[in-house]
Amino acid sequence: MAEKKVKIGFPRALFFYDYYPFCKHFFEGLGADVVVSRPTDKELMQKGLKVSINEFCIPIKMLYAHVLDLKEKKVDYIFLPYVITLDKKTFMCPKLIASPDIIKNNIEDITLIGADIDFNNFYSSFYESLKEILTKINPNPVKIYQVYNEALLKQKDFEKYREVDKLLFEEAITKLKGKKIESKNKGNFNIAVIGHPYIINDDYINAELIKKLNSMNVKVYTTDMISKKDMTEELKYLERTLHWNLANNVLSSALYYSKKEDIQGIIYITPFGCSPDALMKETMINEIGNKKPILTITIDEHTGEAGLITRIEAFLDMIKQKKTLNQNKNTDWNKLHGIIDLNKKEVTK
Amino acid sequence: MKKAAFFHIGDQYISFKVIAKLIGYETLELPKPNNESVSYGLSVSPEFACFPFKMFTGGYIQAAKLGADLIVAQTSYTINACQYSDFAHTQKKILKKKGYKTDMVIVEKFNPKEILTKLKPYKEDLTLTQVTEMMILLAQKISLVDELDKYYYQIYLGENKKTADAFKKKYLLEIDKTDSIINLYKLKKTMEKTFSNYKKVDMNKVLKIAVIGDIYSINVDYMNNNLYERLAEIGVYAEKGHVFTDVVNLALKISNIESKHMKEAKKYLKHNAGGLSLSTIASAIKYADKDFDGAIHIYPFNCMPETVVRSILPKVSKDYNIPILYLPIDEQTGDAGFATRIDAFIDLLKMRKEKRIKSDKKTSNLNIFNVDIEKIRKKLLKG
Repeated sequence: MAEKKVKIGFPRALFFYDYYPFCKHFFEGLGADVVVSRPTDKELMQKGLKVSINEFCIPIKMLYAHVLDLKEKKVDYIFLPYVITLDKKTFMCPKLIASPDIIKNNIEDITLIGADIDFNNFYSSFYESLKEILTKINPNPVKIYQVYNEALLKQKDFEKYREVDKLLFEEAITKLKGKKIESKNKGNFNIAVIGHPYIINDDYINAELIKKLNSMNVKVYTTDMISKKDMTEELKYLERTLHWNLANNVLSSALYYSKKEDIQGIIYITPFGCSPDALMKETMINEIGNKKPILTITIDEHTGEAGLITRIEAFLDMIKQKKTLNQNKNTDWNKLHGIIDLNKKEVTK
Repeated sequence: MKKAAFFHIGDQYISFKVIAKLIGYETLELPKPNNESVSYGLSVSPEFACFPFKMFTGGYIQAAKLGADLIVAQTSYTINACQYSDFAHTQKKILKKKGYKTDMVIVEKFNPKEILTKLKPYKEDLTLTQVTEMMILLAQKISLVDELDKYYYQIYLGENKKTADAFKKKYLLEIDKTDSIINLYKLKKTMEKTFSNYKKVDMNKVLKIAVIGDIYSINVDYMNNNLYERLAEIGVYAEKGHVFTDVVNLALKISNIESKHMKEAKKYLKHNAGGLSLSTIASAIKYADKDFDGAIHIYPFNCMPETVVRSILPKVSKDYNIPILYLPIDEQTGDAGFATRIDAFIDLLKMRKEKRIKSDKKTSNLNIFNVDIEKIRKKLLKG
């Protein structure tokens, strides 16, 4: 049977960074081709900006761009599920819940696989809503169940590489393929980079923040490197958790890293106009207080590289100064005042 | 006597007084949102919080400065949520941080038991029946105030501003005074009677516009830069897409929108994306069905549900042939720019309507024998 394989497109945006291994192995196991849109670049971004309305945050604008890229690649279906909730109490951001509808009403000539996904009850919700398409690819329910379990194992492996081995997204993916990998994420300093997965892991959107930090001899810990168990543990102590799943993740990772002694500082990266984060930031800063230095970086499609580097360098310098001061147990406070006086003199000159 | 404060949403302040009365508090007469109160809110709010949040916070701070002992705030913790579900709790923290000693009650559900437990600390001998009766009265008052508002703009269009103002002032006072459901019903009847005596405009001739979008930007005049007065001045009839009654009804799980329109809306948006997003789309369809001339979609910048709606509405507008003007607003919206855009939109709608009337006349004159003239013309041209 030389039947043509069904091509399923997966946009490199939003949930890609969380559930790619599962979806890849699931659809490939059933005998479909999984096509991923190319990594974000300037040309791709411009395409997305043209179609999107300008009030959206950058992740949604990028979703437009990646779907357009898949359209050019002529895939049969685009996999873009309705992800409503990831656990029982919290919800996704409304923009993400509605993302398939946003795409459907603005880009023509594409077929979305609009599955309703409830990650609590993954298999039944997944199978029920995907039934129609799944039978087209492979009608055998036993096979589907088998492939589903295999894919779930792969997903668990992937999560283990991230949480235990502290690998970045791409490194974890290459390790999942069975290749040996030596992490480039090394350094003398330990900095936590917190934020939404689609911001931290997309090197174009965040202006290669993690690579820059690595080149400055900094080891990066991200939000993805904390297990779900630890996250819920952190939120237990809060008076009231937030309504938003992803904002809760950011908040709990901030709390988690603020308690770790070997982490020297936290960089919080957020897209311009992120509504769930807007009120979360108030709680986060209140809770962390003076425990750890925090640098907030707000990004959008106009973020310049030079400004970003200056701010990171200043932040690292500040941490280094703090470290040296802390190391001298008998801190000479006069000397410290001396530094300040010296600065004053310089200004007066 | 201790003082309680509520936030202004249209003229609903009057109906909220019932809550203060129940627990034996006096109501603090807070001024409507203005530049001063909003500036208080701006100075303490997070950067990306939406405009209603900043306005609410400002109002509460003003209340605290004026000596309120208690602020009653509502929030909802359901799937129909947006930033609003974290409003009150964040505001409580902000007030505490800034050193205001005002107490804040946060009502999360419109349900007697919930309200009883929340208000019990302020009046010990409060009973469930008292609370339930209060809630019924509150709901009635809210719907009556909304009705009054509807009459106000119709009188404004038919007569003038002065008569409309007098009418509104008189009946707001009456609603405030009334504290039994039967008297409220009688008041409603007399209100309808006096309203029917006024001159009204011909609804078929006047330009009709629906204002859809987020509940606060529709109903708070400070947010929409007195949109309705501006429209009434140039003789345009505007209808509010959502009023506060709808929110109460939604809490009681009654929808103001027919299921027919809701079904149509679900084709565009499968799941409610928080807030009133699905009903905004449904109301756009509803007004297109009612043959309105156009719609204005007004929403705060950074409002998640309405931004989603904004991206979907162009398709609805195309499919149902209803022109829509999109107006994102925030605290820096200029008056002049706002007015220009509305005026331009109204001019376009007027031209469109004239054209339609003309073409209707043409076809109706020629269409005596119930024949499609255009088809015949095409056939003749081909032949």
